[in-house]
Amino acid sequence: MITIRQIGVLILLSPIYLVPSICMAVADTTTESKPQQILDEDKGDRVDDAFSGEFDADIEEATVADPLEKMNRGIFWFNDKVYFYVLKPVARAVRVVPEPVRSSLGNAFHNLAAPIRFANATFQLKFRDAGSELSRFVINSTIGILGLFDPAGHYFGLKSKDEDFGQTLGHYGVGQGAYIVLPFLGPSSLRDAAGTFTDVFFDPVYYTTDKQTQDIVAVRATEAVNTVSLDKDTYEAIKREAMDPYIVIRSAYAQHRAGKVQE
Amino acid sequence: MITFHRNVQLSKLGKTMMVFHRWIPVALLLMVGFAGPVQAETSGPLAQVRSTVEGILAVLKKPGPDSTAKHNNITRLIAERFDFDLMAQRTLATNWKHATTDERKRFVELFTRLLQATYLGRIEAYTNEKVEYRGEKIKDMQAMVETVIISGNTEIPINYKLREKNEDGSWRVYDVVIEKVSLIATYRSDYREVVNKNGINGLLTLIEKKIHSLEQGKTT
Repeated sequence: MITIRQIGVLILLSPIYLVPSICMAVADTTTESKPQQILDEDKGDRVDDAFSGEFDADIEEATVADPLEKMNRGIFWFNDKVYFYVLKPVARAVRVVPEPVRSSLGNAFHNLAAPIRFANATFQLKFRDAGSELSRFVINSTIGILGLFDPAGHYFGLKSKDEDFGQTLGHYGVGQGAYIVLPFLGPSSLRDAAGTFTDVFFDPVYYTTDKQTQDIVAVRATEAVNTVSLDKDTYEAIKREAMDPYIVIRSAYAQHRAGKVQE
Repeated sequence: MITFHRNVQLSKLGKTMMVFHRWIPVALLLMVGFAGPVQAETSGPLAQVRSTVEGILAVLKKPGPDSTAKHNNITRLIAERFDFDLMAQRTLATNWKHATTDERKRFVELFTRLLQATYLGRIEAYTNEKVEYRGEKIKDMQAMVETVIISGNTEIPINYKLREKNEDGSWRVYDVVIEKVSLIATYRSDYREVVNKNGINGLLTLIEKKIHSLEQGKTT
């Protein structure tokens, strides 16, 4: 879940705009489209001024402080190598497995993380989401055969909503703090890294693997490989299209997390 | 049309066809007469985004390897619906103000080409996706259309921000927000750094290089 999501965030930004980037990890964030106040939030948006050139107020996008940029860029470089020399070749090999199988495996991983979403929805007093998450977990673990399938979504109309402890902290007003790129895991922030760490305690994987680090890593690595195998080379596209991929991913991360917290 | 008539005239089928043919232009006229103006007025931002997106998906799904024709069709559909001038301005933001008329013009031109090279390089991977249109919000001249792309069992929210053109009631997209990440805001932060370091001209040179490498299909 952790690795995947972080990679997912990299992948979030699809540079083409009519058609989506596919990021399995982030995209399992199936939300009922709750109308956000994007129009209002866009207050700096002087679109109606007929572009008099007053664009200063326009720069209102979510950002994140990055005092550790030097170190972060180092780790970013390292993660990039891990992606291209380890993760990607393995994922490519795994593509011989038929896609429905891999996508079912993705479902199972997502289902396994339901307690994390349930706990954090509860912490944020979003009881309806928490209830939906719980029902999903029960239905998909049983009828859905260990979460391989998603009858809760397909037949009961129960959608999953991505929640984690970083969002819970954000919900109660904790700011991102400094941006940090974590080795292997990718973009994060002081707040979200603390959240990721906390979420481990709601993660069934942590308990079923008997808290053995190597087993947990194995599970996460499998999940990461599976996710990358389903992705359509989004990270490659970002690298190809961005002037500075580091900046693009940092910006996408800040925007994505701010949007999630606001939700 | 006339030749066709003569050939089938003898058969009974031919007669029916003739009657049919005589009416087709009338029917078409009526359809145009009704559909034309009504459509222009009643179709809001959502309907317009839908027609563009569905149009592109239709082009992508068409069998046949003629990718140049497909690319041209897609480019045309996108050019109709997207306001590249506005996107370029919003991307440069503050730096737009400091740019000379000439620099602005060049930036708009290059940015448009960059976006085209970008989506044409990637769009083909997305032939079999389904799009759901969830709603629209209109506020004065601005609108937001909410869509979800369904690919396998994942759903990706994509929102389009549009601005109305006074002249003809048509709406133009000026930003696309995917999973809460704005296309324009992201380009803006990327380019801001470049302008800070190398100035607008440095940015223009780099974009030109980028376009070149994207069109060659290389990774830089």
